[in-house]
Amino acid sequence: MSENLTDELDLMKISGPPSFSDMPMETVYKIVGKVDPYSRLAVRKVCRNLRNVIDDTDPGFKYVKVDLSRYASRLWLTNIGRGAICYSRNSNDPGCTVRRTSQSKSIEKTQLDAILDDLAVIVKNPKLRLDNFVIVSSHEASKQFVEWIRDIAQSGILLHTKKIKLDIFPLKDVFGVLSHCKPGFLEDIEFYCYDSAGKMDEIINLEQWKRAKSINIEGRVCEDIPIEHFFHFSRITIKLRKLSVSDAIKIRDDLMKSAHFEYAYIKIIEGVDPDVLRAINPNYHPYDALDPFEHGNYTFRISSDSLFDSALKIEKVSITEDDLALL
Amino acid sequence: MADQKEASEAAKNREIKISSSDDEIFLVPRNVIRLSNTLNTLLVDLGLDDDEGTNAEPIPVQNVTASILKKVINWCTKHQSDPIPTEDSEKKTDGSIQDWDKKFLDIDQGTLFELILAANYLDIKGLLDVACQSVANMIKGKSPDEIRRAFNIKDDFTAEEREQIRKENAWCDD
Repeated sequence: MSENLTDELDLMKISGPPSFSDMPMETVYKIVGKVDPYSRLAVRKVCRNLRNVIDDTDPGFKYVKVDLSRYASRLWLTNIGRGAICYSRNSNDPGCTVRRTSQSKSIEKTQLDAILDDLAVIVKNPKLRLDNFVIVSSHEASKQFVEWIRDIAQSGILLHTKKIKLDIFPLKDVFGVLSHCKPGFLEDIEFYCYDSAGKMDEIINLEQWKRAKSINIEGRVCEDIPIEHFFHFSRITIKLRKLSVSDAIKIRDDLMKSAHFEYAYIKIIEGVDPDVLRAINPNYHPYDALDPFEHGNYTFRISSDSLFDSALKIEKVSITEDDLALL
Repeated sequence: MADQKEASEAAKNREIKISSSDDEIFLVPRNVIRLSNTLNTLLVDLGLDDDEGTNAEPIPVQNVTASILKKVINWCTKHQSDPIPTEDSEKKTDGSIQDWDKKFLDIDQGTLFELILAANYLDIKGLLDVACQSVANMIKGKSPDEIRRAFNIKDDFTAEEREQIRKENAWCDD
């Protein structure tokens, strides 16, 4: 009787309705793939099997911004609305408090270690594909950030992001970050560099630099870089002390004849020399400054903004035949 | 053009006999069967796709009980005119579920997972997608402990692993 009952119970157990754990792996992957990115981080903590599935799946985040300020660091995993995860140091111990919405937890790590460890869970996933990665730093934090990303790269993982923005970074740390981005995947480089020290040589020789399509350098005067090193970019925003006529001729004869070129916005500390404008457009005249003109196979518009800051903008324009007829 | 229309009407009117794992027989319009790649393949392999009448012997659906197969047929009947889902259409989804499907999937968890298994076995992509999305929506916003309780999942981490995991992204624990 006892044996019969046991068999019946076993049979009932076997024939019971299926649960999540009974799903085939391909179905588990399918379910996980439909879970929102934030919830995937929670799913990752449920059991070993789900942790492995999550770590084998694109985390799903497209935007990451990390602010490594000294007193309170913040992490954004979306660029929609407010949603920062705040890490603030505890006043009475070396740890920190992590806060998101109304929830907070105390952690036995410094705020910088805590935020970078949390970010590592996402960045270490080899299937992560970001559209934008923004890092706002301070001097000490940028050094730690570079060490952090170097450690991740040692496991063979390069950062897959289409755009990277480095804010308040010394030049040597710009190199440290860029060199661990996936060349070819990185399209858009933007950094605000507060120091004039350091050389751009290492950066301009990086494959990441050579294969990117857009460059925006704030804060630093790029007078130590030959202008030609920017000509492979489609979109250029830089600052120069002065733009010479000879460099203007290079822009006209090389950059402006490139099929990929879209625009260049060059801030010029010493002002825009009219001879430069005429070198780019021999028919330039102040009264017709905004009129488009043809050069090579393309049509361009140049403008010189001197109201707040001297700047030269060279822009390839799409122009219709009707517009051409009016010129 | 007229021939195509006639063929379409014939397919709509033709019924295919299928049987569940517990030997219940269903007559299903051919146009509804098309949503299942598994059954479509069976029809071709058995040489029944070119026939115009109802097959004498039912096509066995061995892994699906009658109660679940009835639900599957109901879903396919509702969605028989839907375009075939593609990978792109799946990627574009924002996680929302249409009202009819939402009501259809408002069932106990065991039945939902049986439905997922059936959709997977029968290779009905649209049903599988929406059923998996339903489970994903149950997970949204839950802490790890809540997910374990909701789906009866055992925490099989070692003590050391658990401590390490607790420290990672601690903000998502509550």
